[in-house]
Amino acid sequence: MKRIWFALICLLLTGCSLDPNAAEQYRTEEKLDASITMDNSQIQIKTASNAHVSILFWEKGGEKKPLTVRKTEKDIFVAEKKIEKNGVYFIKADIKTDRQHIMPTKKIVVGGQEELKQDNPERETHSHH
Amino acid sequence: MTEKSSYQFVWRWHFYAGIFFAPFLLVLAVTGSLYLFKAEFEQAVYKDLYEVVPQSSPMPASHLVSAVKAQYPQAAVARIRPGETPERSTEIGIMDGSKSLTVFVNPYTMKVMGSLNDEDRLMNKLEKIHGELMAGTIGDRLVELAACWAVILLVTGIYLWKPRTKKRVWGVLLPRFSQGKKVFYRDLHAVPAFWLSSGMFFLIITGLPWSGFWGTQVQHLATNAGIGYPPSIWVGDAPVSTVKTKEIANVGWAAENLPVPASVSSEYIQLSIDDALMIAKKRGIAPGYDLYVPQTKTGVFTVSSFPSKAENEVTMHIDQYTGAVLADYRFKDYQPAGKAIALGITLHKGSQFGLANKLIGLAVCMGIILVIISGLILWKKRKHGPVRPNGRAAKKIIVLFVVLGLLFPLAGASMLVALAVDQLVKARKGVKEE
Repeated sequence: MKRIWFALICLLLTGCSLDPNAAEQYRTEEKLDASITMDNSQIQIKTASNAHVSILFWEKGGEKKPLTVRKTEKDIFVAEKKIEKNGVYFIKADIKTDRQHIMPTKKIVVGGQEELKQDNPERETHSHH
Repeated sequence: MTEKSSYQFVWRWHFYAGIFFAPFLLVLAVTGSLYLFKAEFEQAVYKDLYEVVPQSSPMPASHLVSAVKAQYPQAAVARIRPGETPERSTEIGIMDGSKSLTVFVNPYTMKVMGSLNDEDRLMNKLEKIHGELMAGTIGDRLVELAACWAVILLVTGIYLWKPRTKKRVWGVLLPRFSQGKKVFYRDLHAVPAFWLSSGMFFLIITGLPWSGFWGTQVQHLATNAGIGYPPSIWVGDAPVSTVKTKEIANVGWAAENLPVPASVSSEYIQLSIDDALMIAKKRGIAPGYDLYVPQTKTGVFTVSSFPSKAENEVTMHIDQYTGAVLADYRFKDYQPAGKAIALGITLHKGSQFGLANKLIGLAVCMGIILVIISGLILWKKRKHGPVRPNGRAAKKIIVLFVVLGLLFPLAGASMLVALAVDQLVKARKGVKEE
């Protein structure tokens, strides 16, 4: 009898919390991530090797422009871009595989205190045509 | 002897449980029968907020959000619901201070058509009464207790209804009209209750997964065992967005091109609402869903759709920085218990099979009301309360009660309380009689 009670209490207690790995027993999605880095002349995207990558670049308030992308290593994609004046810029990578489509966007603030101050949460003021 | 005391035992429990839970069950039946017609009611009452005249193409959702923000500058946007037809307005859910508002926007003209305080909506109030008697967790547990006891009332009721002597029709399958008022009310209680018993049982059992204690336990067990809903639909947290740290370089970066030595900071920004909606569209989700906007740094965009038919349900989580779909759960991804619960819910709400479904639900609710009222009349007209059985009830009856008590622990606990009270009453009466 004691054992039955013990089992019942265990059942109730384990019932209370969700197994953190429970999701693995159900349909899962392909994991796809990417990192965007920029140095003084180049934008670099690191992502899955089978991905198709395109890049949009624009200055805050300006027009979105596609950049020419080339694959340099199996998971590195690059585009040439030089920033020549202070300001707030955006790089949006559009990355597609067979099962995922991600579009991380990075904001780059170049400049002194003035630009950093303007660095408010507002984004994509000029978009969606 | 055992047969008689078993009958007395069962009748006593049925009698006291019936009196105690009748008011709760009455509230559930009345609110439930009204809530069945939520869609029709809201379509009629909120017509001016719902309907728009379609024009060539709707504006992007981000523009609609801006229009709402212009009117409610302090509010945080929590939810966007694109209309399911071209004639339907877009809903934008906002938190304005402590108020949760739904703002209706014409997607073609961007005109804010009006707003509703979610708390004030009649159907939301009904839902709160039906689910928790407007009394939070305590109310939720009371409703659950009433539902569990309703199962016990059904089981004991069928035991009491079952004809003991010869097989007969009148008083069992049909009410007797010409044998006096008492017999008439008894039949008006027992006969419809028998006819509706499967419907009542269905409503109880499909409603219980909503309950805070029993429902949550069952959902946890089912989800953990891989036989229920995937996590985050009922129980369990949604996946999280991966936060990448902001990078700041204070050294002159590309300094040669810039007028002053620059500092460069870069960070990933949140996906635009338009992109989140575009992802939902690309994944084939029909409008009429809600897009929940993340409220924390690790939060996700969640596309949630619980339309009238269970097989069209969607819960999809999107990383707020990359737009990666972290989870996309449809009805077909639910495991058997999850599918059964989901179908049970749409049938319980009366939406699965349209009007016929609602009318059947309504008939069962009306039947419950009739059974409760005739039961209460029987109670008022009683000559005496149930007698305390002299002998013991049959073993199978005791086993039945223990099983029901274990199956519904909250009801089981209340049974123990009732037993304790009964023993106290018995002891006090015993003292008096001496």
